[in-house]
Amino acid sequence: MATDQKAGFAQVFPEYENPFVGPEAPDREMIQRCIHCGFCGTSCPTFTLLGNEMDSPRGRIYLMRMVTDGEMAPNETVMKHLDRCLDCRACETACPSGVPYGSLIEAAREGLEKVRKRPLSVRILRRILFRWLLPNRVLLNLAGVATRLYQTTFLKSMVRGLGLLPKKLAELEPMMPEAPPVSSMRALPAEVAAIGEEKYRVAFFGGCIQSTLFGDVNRAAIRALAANGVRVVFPASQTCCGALQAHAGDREAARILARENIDAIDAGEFDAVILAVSGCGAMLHEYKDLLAEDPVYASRAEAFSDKAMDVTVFLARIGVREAHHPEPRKIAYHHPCHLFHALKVRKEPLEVLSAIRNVESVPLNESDWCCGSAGSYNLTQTEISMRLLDRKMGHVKDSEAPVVCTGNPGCQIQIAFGARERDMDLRVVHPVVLLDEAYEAEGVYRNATLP
Amino acid sequence: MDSAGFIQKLTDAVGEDYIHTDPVALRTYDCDGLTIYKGIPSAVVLPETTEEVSRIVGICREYRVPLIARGAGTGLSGGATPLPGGVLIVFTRMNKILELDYVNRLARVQPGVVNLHLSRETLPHGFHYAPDPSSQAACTIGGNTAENAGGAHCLKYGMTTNHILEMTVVLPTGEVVHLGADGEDSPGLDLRGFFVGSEGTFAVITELIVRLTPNPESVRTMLACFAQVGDACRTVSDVIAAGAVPAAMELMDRYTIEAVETVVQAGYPKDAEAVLLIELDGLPSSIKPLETLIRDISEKNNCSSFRIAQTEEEREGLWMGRKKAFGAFGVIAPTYYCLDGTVPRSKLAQVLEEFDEISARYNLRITNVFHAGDGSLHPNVLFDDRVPGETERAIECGSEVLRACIRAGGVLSGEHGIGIEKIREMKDQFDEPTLEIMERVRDAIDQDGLMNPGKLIPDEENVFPVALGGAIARMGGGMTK
Ligand SMILES: Cc1cc2nc3c(=O)[nH]c(=O)nc-3n(C[C@H](O)[C@H](O)[C@H](O)COP(=O)(O)OP(=O)(O)OC[C@H]3O[C@@H](n4cnc5c(N)ncnc54)[C@H](O)[C@@H]3O)c2cc1C
Ligand code: SF4
Ligand code: SF4
Repeated sequence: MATDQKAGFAQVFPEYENPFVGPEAPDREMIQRCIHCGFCGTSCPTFTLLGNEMDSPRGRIYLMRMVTDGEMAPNETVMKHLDRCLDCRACETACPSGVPYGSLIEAAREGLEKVRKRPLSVRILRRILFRWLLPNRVLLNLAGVATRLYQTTFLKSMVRGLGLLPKKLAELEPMMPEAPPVSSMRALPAEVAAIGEEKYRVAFFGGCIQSTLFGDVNRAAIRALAANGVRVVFPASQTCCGALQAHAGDREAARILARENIDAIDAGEFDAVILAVSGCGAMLHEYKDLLAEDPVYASRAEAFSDKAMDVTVFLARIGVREAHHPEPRKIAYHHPCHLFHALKVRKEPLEVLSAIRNVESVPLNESDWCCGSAGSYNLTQTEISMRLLDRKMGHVKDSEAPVVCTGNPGCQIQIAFGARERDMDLRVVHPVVLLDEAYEAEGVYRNATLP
Repeated sequence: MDSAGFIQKLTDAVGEDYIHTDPVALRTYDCDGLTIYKGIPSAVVLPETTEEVSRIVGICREYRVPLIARGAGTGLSGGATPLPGGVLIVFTRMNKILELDYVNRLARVQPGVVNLHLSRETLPHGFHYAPDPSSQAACTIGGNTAENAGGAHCLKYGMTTNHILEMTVVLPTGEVVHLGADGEDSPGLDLRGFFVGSEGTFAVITELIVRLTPNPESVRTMLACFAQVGDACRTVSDVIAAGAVPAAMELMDRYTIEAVETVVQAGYPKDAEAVLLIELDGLPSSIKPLETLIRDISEKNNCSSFRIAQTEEEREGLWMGRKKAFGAFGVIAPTYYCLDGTVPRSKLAQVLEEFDEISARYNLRITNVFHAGDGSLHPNVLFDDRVPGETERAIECGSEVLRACIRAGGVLSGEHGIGIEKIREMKDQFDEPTLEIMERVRDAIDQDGLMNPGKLIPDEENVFPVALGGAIARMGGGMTK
């Protein structure tokens, strides 16, 4: 079948090879599941903004199908519309037919990388970023420190190399998050004991950018876990999760990292593998699909994925300890796409927030809509990203909450940027940080040795 | 024809960001929810105002190019499938709610407003837009009007036509006219009534005034489960015979339950042969006796369990299963063939038994999920189009199903519209003089035959290229290979 497909394709489009052939290609059976009903359209941010069928999930699946079947060349237009996808997976939530859109688009992106004509310099930069910088804590911290020192554009000039950057680079400058103090980049302790009776033992997954830019969130999560009777182990040889690589079409890099992480963390030894960064969480859950064809790692990947869990889910499941926050506040919760649509984690973060007795969550319209951050989307598709951010900030304003809670660093950076741009006095914070502040204020941590 | 000049004029009319002529882009518009027929348009335009639409229509008329309106493209009869080379006018940008008048209970909307979005906007104010096709989360009010769409709650509240008060349309000449009135009664000929359900063959709708319905004081949603499909059917006819009009009464059979539970976990018991989803609305004092009546009737007909949703969440869960049922068939079968027929309620049990017998004979599963309250059936034949001969067998099976409906005194209903799909059956359903009147009305309005040609009203020769044989035209859903 595959060879027929290949030969037929070559006849019709001699200038292209069919990028959607082979075991890693978009699954034709799953494409077939799409019954072309269009139910997903209204949930799709890009379709809602642009109104084009080819910018809708149904249209994109149609494009994938036609390229797979050799009816269409994987040309510039196909790439343009598949590139515009946020990979937010809202369409999966809406689809009555169970089309696994996320895995289709990622496989398609991997395929398109094979035929995409990128200048050599860009290819090299992508390789440096994905295979070398992100997986390397020391280098990444150096970048963080450099950013901090100069608030300059070292990381960004790397990311520029992703290609497809809009002309007005100046626009991107203010999007750069403020790098945290160097102290927050320090490594996490190898092990933190539970406060009081030890009821659970978990491994902690730090995440690369998270550890550099949001190390304090990781520490807050670890403290909050300890306060709930959890011993937290941090296996030091873990690395970047591979999500950015997979979204950008470099799934091979993601596979290499997945194997390293599976080797680093013996999931069977722990009650769970916990993260406080939802983008990575979705990736860890995907390891079992990513390595499904791997003869050595397939079953370990499955065990690993099954143990991965967002910190809020774990806390909600074990019955999170309640506390008072020193500053009673209204908060609006924004659902990170991968948590809400891919992992279907919907109630747990709110349950954790409701354990903070004097914090009130107020409704946020379209709280399950992408904020436009979407990995490196805000850098590669700045215009659409900014339109989505505008929509998000409008809803945040309407909610009148002075605090937005959300569990993903990408969303935090994007929404904080949106607030800065609009001169809004807004705090953007991970839910677990509020919980940690409440525990701290109540004296839960007294006498404990914590990071 | 000077096609460069033509495209240039269209571009000037809508702006270059809102016209597509790239062959890749055009391919994605080649069909609606019915994927059997395809036609690639020469251009897709996305206007923003009535004036722009009027200009587009004028240009198409000048160049004698057919034009086809498209809302969300969820249609199941090929209504929005372009005649090859035609211009597709897509309403995704004309999606604004222009005015909400709660005092007079009406809304002024653009045709691209998504059905559910209007209700979402008005619900907190105590109103909703009553017609609720299963596709309501995606389909547009313009598309609903053109198809005269129905839905679960139309049993009590009536089809789309009962909710359209006034419409602004662009005639094939490019002229803009207003049909109907925003009050209850409009003098003169009821042109509004003509245009509702005309599937874009008369004119292009660019604005609508629709009725808003007050939210019911209270709602009770219940699920009655049965070990025999026949018992569920008898419950339906007994309820109606007892004089009760529930807001909705939907039947789903075992295969549907299986598919739905795989995808959404609506909480339907997997061991039931059929479930009835029944909704009552009105004053709590009037609902209570009805609820008792329905429970008694269900029990008399051997229902195995009877559950009333206790929370809004539970109620939404029960409905979610129904709304996603069609899509869920994609999970249990590669392709399905969705039929659309109506039978007298008293014949439901008998017809479904016949379906079972047909299903066994063809060795193909037939699923049933339908508006039981008004006897509006949607039998679906599940098959695998990759197995040689199975498509043909499914088609044969489907036509036997339809014949069974007709034998029971039913009709080939048009909830999903006629479009290309059922255009041939129009000749079976209507006699010559009736068809001729339809044709003359259409020709009087669309003198050049440019508005969505090849749909709804059969012509002497079929202008739409039929790639596949007659019966296969009825294939709904299921992306074909
Ligand atoms: C899974 C599924 C379930 C469904 N369930 C139901 C159901 O319960 N009840 C029901 O009635 N239908 C149902 N449908 C069919 C479909 O959703 C309806 O026919 C709907 O009204 C189509 O709306 P649309 O916006 O998608 O229109 P489209 O499919 O885009 O167009 C439909 C027709 O309307 C015309 N049209 C669209 N906009 C305009 C305009 N502005 N001016 C003039 N003509 C216009 C088009 O030319 C075409 O003929 C279902 C479809 C699917 C896929
Ligand atoms: S909702 Fe699912 S089946 Fe329907 S068009 Fe979208 S992806 Fe396809
Ligand atoms: S992943 Fe998000 S942006 Fe992409 S098609 Fe689905 S809903 Fe649209």
